[in-house]
Amino acid sequence: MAEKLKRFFRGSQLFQWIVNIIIFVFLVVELYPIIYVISCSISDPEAVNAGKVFLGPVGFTLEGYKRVLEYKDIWIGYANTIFYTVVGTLINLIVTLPCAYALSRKDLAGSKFFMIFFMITMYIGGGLIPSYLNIKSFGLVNTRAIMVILGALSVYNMIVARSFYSGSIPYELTEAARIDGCSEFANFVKIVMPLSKALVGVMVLYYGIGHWNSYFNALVYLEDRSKFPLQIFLREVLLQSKLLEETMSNNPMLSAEEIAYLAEIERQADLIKYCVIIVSTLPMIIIYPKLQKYFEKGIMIGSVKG
Amino acid sequence: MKRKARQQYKQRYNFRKKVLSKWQLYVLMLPAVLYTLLFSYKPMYGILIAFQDFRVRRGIWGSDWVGLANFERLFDSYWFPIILKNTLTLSTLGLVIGFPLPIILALLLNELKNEKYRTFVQTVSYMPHFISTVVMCSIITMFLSPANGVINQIITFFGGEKLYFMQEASWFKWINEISGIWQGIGWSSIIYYAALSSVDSALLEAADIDGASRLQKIWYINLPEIIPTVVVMFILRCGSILSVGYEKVYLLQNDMNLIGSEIISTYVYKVGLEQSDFSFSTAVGLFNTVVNCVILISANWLSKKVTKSGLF
Amino acid sequence: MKLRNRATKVFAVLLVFVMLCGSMAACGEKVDPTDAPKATDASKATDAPKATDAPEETEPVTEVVELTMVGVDNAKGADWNNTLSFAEYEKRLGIKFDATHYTTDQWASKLTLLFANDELPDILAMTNSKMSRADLEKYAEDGYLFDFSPYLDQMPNLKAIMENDPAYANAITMPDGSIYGFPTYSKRAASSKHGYYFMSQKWLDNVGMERPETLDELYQVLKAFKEQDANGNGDPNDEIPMGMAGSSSYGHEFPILWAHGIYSKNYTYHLQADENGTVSLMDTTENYKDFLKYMNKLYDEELINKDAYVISGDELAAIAKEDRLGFSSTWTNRCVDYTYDTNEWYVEVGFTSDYSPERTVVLDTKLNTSYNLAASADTKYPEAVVKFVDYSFSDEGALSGGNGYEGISFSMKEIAGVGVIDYTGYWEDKYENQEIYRNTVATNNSGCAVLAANEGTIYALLEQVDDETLRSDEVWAVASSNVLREEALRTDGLVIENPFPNLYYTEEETKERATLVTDITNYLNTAKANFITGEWDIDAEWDEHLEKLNEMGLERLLVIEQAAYSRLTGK
Repeated sequence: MAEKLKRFFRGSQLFQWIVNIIIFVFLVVELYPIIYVISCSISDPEAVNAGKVFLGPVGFTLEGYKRVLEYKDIWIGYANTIFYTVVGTLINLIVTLPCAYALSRKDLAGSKFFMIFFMITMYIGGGLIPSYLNIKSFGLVNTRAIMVILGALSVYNMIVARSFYSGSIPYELTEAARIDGCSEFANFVKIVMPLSKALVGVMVLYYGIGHWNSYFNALVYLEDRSKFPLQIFLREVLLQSKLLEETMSNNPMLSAEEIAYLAEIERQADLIKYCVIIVSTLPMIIIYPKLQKYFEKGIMIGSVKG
Repeated sequence: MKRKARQQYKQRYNFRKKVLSKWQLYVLMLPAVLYTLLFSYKPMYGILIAFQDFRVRRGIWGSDWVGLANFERLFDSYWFPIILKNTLTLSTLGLVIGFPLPIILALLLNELKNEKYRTFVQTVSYMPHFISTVVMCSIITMFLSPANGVINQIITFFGGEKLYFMQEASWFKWINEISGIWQGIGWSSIIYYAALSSVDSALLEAADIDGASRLQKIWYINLPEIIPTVVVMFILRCGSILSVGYEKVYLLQNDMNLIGSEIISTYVYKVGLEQSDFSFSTAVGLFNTVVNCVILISANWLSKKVTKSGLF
Repeated sequence: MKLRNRATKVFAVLLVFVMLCGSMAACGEKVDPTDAPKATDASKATDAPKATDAPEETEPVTEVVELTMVGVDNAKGADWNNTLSFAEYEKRLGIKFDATHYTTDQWASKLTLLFANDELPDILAMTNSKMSRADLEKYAEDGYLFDFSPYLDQMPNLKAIMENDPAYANAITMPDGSIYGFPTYSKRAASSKHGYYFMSQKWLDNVGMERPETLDELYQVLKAFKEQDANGNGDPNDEIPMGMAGSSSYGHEFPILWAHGIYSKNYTYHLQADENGTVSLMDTTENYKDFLKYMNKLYDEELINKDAYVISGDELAAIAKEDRLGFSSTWTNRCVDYTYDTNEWYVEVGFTSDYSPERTVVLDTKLNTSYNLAASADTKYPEAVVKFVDYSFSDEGALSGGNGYEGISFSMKEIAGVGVIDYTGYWEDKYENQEIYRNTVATNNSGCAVLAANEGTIYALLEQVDDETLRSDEVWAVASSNVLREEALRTDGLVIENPFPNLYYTEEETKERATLVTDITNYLNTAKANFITGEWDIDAEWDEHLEKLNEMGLERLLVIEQAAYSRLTGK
């Protein structure tokens, strides 16, 4: 007993308790907005607007979800977003990872030049009009292709990947393989990729969620509603739920009928607003634990380093 | 003389050999380079708009040049010092508080033994990232509401006076930062958590045998492992010091807290409502870039001095 | 070997994506037919009533011209092309529209791209957007926009409005006489231009007081609301005498502002001209200082809700529904409409004080400050464009924008001897409610309208009935709380003050003004809030406040405003 107590205070158990308590408090704090959104999605929208929902639902109703299921646009958007996310992320990986690997190599002549070459684009952009005209000159306006090509390289993510490679893939390892007769391509595919599962997991997550949440590119470059991603429809719903307040402060000339109409649209948007958020977030929440396994499996280097 | 020329030749030869022998590496970079040239560099001429009175139909080459007039409009504004100060305050707070917390979270999560529990905590912690800004802001406002907000109910429960958080300019930066952490901490910690995965388990075992405490292990083994990532993230963060997004701040703004909440991006938005002016907004963007770059280069230089590693 | 394996794997994966891509495209195409039934629904709806009582006024048009239109809708709305009104345009005007529309937050980027692309549609329908005069002039100068001035002779309806109201002629005529764009214009009766400043009659009765007519009386009334159990629910502390919500909207305090002799419907930045035509900013006067002091007194004594600047309109409406609000503005009318009966509320007009010896109200202007309809200079069918725009300025055209056509989307019903638009019989079977029918099936919710017509609306009805009928159930049933606004404007001895006119600036002025006016209104907004809530002390900090305004270039700004005003009025 005394021994146990001593151990408790001296070391790992006390520490574990502290960690557990901190994490638990953190969990509660982070859970709150999620529970709130879920509760709102099954509450009477009027109660939500009046600020009466704190934790549990008020005026329970599943009407919102019923309407979301009937809302065709949402499901078109869903299919499009899945497509853009999957294909777009694949392209991201193909563009980003080899480049990051090459830049991480100490023996690459001109690596500083290339870093600056890439980083300049983080800071200087052409702005809306020149970028649009550029895409138009490629004939990519209003195509699904532009949604997966645009943003193929995020310099930020590339830098993250590069620092991972230079920290975790010892130069000696690839050099040895090269001396054994492996080409750089084979090196990258056969040695580097299997060793960087954690990185691939992070990249898939970063890029994938970037695509999932992407809104502005679709707004600028797409015309057809049938090609719109989910976020556009989500924004429309969110906008509509603030319609009356916004319109009335902008335009004092509204007639009684127009106000009635806006109120009606707003009521409908309020009803599905939170449901749409839940529905649109769900896939990401399901996928995350699966990706996370890769982060944990990244323990490869032990054997190499030791 | 001859010797020098020969040396020069040799150097050049070496360089060429170095490049040629590694041609495969350049091929690996090819897609990224091509993409950057076509999609980033090709429209980059648009930055010239900042020095023009830009007219869409006349295009860049036909619009009148106005020198630095667009920049002067920004600098001459009475609000300029206020918005610059507010922008810097918000991003500095983000750097000082918002930056280290995800690292600490990643280290703590790494200490959780139960795998399922850990995955659950992580999934929960990154979910707020998906709540759109509009909804997040309404949650914040509701939370801080003096009438029935949770925080004020706690305060009055303990006999305190109600606080009008959203009506105080001085509170704004804290509301923005804390809610930002709330929403982003789980998401930001992912990169550090992933970096922790490459900690050598043999090292940890050896430390165990030496009788190292948990804290010691974190400090001497785990932390050093993620330091390179931390440095990179820190430098990048420094390089966006003036780029504070407009949407959230704009939504949380009200007339009462304006003195503390007007930042560069919201100000530009408001000027744009009066008259849409690409030249002005581009000029402001360029000003941001210049400041950001200066900070980035300094941070990179400092990092090279201190940690011997940098971005370039 | 292994590598090859991997390569085939990658290839297989890619193949799957390509197939997925293909199926997705197919998916997208499949979607369109599902939208189609709407169109057939609409045509069915057209057929049914038409057979019974369609007045055949217009000759059938032989040749149909197709015009493109891009618009902005505050709600997402349905396809404009499928509305009954658009079908009628084809029949009556021979104009078939190919219209697309965007939501308000998509609009700014989309409009930019339209110009960047140099592919303007024939008609730009911007009823729900805010294109400023400055932007209009800029685009016109670049040669994007269609000049209507050579066609004025073919536009009798527009001409009639210009002659009737010189302000409108001023608004659309550029310094060189050309006409590029049109702000919306309201022909509606006065009551549509008065705010909803609801005061609870029930509460007044409960505390035994008369309707306040002076600022002092207002203060006494609010104080009584606060101190007594005005709503009679047994709790004397749950009343909010005067409710305000949101920072810079709604103008809950306008009647109090007018009572200080500042006749404006701006939130801040109140320009006013004296009889000599000298423009001054009322925000720097003693009047305004006293207005702030009065508001500060109300706030300080909790006669205004303490969370006025953080609460949302929805939350305020919820409070009103609980009968906890005595005096408040604008859109809490929703609660008034649905929760209370006529006799519980009335609409306030204005109070007297030393600054304003008469009870005075300021109505909204008849014309919008932003430009809502324009056309492309490159249109292939200038005649059709001119025809459509002029048609929009006719009474029939105006009604078609927000209500539709008699016998096609509505019928006229006699109420108290006045014809009022009635949708009964047109929507019940197929649509969720009347408003959804009116704005997605019958019309595009005034998405491309520039004229708000009076005839057939409830405002026309209210204007024409006598005091007694005004309060009848029959009228209340169609006009609800609008009755209270009409009643308010019939107050004895009421002075109706014209608001300061919209000013138009030269290009140079516009450029200089943009930052100046942003800086100054931004500051005035926050100063107003801080003075009212007592964060800043009015007496102690007033001089400093004025000093700051000067530092921001107020003097220069006023020179610009004065120049624009003198140009407009010739003074």
